Amino acid sequence: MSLKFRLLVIVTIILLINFVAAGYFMVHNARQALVSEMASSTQLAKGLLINALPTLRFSNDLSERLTLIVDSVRDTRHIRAWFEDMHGKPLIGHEDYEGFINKPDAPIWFIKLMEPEAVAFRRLITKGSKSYGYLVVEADPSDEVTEVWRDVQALFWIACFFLSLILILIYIALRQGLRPLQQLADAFGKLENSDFSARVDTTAVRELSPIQIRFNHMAKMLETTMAENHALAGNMLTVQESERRDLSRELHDEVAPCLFGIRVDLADIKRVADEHALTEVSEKVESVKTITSHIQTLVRKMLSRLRPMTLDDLGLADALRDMLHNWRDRQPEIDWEWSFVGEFLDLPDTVQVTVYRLVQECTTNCVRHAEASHVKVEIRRDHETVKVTVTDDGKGLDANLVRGFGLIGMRERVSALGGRIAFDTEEGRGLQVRILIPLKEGEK
Amino acid sequence: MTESITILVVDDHPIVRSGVRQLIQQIPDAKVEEAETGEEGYRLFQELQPDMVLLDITLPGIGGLEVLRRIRANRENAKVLMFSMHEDPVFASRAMQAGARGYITKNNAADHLVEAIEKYSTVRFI
Repeated sequence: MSLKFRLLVIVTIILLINFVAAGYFMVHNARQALVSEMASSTQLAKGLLINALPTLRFSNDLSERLTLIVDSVRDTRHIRAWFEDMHGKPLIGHEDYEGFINKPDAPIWFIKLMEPEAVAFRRLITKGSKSYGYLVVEADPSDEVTEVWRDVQALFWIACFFLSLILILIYIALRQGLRPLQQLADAFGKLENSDFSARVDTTAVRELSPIQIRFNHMAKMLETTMAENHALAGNMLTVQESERRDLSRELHDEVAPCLFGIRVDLADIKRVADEHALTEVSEKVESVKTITSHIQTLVRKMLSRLRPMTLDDLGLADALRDMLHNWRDRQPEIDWEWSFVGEFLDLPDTVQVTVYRLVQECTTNCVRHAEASHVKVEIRRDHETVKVTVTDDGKGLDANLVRGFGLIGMRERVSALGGRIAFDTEEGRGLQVRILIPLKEGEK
Repeated sequence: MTESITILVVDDHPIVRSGVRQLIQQIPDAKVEEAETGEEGYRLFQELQPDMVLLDITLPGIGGLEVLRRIRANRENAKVLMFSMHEDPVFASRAMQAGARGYITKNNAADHLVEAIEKYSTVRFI
């Protein structure tokens, strides 16, 4: 449950309790007031009635006099008055009441809540020995109940209005207050995706600013460290490639020609030894020749390990084509496809070697681990970047295994050149390795 | 009687050139000319019009394959034998595509160079 929702629920409950309590006290007070008002009204009416009753004795027209009395009492607020016969049937004074009993304009539950008890005063009207009926005066709480009900309704709507207003204000305040946390979460997400330029605004909420300041500091440190790391890795890569190039050049330019010279001399010695039938010399020469040949093979292997031999003499595109042709020959059951777009000859040596090694690593993985039936290598060079995409339809790579298979080394190589590498994989649905290497000014 | 033949050796390593010269001495009446770079090799080819060119693939400046292309453009039937330490078949196939008569690796040259030169220049020896 979100913090916002939780706080809003708590505030709503507190406010509702408040409003219910206010309503309860309001109704309670109104009820007290109603009871005392009804008592005093009844008392007043009773007084009026008692004062008026003696006039009945002198009246010839009892009905007219009763009507006068009833009317005079009825003018009193909250009072109902009528005259009924001995059987309780209303005779005078009930015409104006709709359904005779006045009904408050409020729901029944509210009326019951108010519990207005009718306070009645009945007086038997007799003349001589004859009883005519009862003169009844009753307090009528309906107006009061209606008034209280209207007040309660007003209170309800005011409460609703303020409740909504308070909730809206709290929501806005919370949203504003929590925004820095969302920003922090977004910034952490960026860090997670290796975007170390992520920073948060430190001015919005004072309570959060220590965290924000420390976050920004941490992100800056990370950015600096990562930049240093990249620079270091880039330097290492350059130094490594340059050392490899020097080593391979020395092997190629110095060691290999010497071995060739030795082989030529050996051939000469052998020829002379054969001419003079020096069998022992000839045998020794043959042995040295075997050793020299072995060293030549070693040198050749070292050379191809140190540097892709084909790269210097054929250029990147042809060297890659050669690599893929070799794969096609060795793995004919796999459908190999490739497309190279753009000019590669003028690419810096480090980029060419990196692209070559990356394709080598990817295709080797395809053959060794992927059990793929189709492998596609795409390289596209434009003004700003070199993009390498290697796609296979093999068994895919568990995301946890992305670290293995020499892929971590690939990531290092790519990041050393300031590039990015992405692995799209789903178990059983192949793997796509996407590499982007930016070209610096002067390399374009 | 055989006529003398001229073989131009283009290789940037003096030891290799001298080794090749040593090997070619086995061929009677063979004359060896040497060039150190691709540019020099092509210039000497134009100048001397040798009977055969022994051309290294890896050369400073313009590479062996480019020199081969230029030589073939200059003289379509030029006999060029590529001579390299690369054992990758792609080099041999590139060389043959570019018009080389043959391809020999330096590892085998000591034993087979003379044989190869004789084989690929048979037309002249007959």
